[in-house]
Amino acid sequence: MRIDAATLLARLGRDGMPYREFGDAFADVELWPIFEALLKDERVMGPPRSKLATRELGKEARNWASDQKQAFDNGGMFKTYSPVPDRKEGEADIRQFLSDLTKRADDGRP
Amino acid sequence: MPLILCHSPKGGVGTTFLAAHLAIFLARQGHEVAALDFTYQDALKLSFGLLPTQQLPEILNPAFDPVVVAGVELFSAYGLRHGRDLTDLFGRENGAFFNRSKIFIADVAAGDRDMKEMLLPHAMLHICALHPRPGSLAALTKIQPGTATIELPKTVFVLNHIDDTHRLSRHTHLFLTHLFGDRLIGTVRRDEAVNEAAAMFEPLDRFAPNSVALADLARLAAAVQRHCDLVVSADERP
Repeated sequence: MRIDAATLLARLGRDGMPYREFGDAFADVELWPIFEALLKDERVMGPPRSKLATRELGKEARNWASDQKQAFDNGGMFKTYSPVPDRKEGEADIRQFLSDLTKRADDGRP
Repeated sequence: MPLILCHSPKGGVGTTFLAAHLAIFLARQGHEVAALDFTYQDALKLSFGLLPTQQLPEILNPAFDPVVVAGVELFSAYGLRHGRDLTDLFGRENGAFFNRSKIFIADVAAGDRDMKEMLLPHAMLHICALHPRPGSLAALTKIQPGTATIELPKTVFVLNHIDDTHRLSRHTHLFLTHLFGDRLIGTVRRDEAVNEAAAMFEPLDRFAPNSVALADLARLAAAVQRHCDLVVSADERP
């Protein structure tokens, strides 16, 4: 339980009150247009990768979406307020995922 | 002489607040810390409970009397305008003032890109504060022209003012977590007590010791310590 929630409940004398943190449904984590704009901006993402580089990075990125859905299903949204996971190894894979996501948006697919 | 540069291309995102509290927490860990206010706004001192009328000594003024609050030496560096000034600042040895282990934290105004560019080569770390708002996110395109934001070698990000009752704030947190990975080095929750403490001219930890922001700032300082491999030397330990 977050410190501020625990403090408030203690002040109200409701220490025993059941408390649950609700995570966002995965479907609600929509691609806001501002996010999409940043993903498409070379000043943020760098120049598009070559097809060869893209192919080499492809495999692990495809698992990212299912990993995130599982995290949300487990109420994991608020767990992201905990120490940020080390994603150095997967950083390039994230770029591939985000690149795929942008392409899907361009194609009008969900 | 580690230099931590605090600068964001977007103003009003809490750069000064983060610089001040990073300094405070690092000093609390036993480090020697100096905070340099490079801004015209002169607001760094407010986070230390100082009044607007209280002037900070100029860093290059040999006749200064140091102002030390919460273990942090405070200086105004707004007068430094040229590369030669910085050479004087970082190149000279002056016994008690400069020593190899003191951490310098520079608060640079958003609009002062020239100073940011002058300081960046000297910096061990560049901390860029963000808000979960479109204006701040759009400024991610402006951090370092010529280098993709996700490839900046010295830059880490802090998402300030998050509020998990707001959908865009939650989603921004998630987006940036996966965009930057461990280079999203910290998050700080919005707490009105921060503004109230400054309006009372009191340090936040005294005005609102239960502030959620304090817990977040402590984690941020710990993360910066790990990232920069900052170690308190035997001479500095209390």
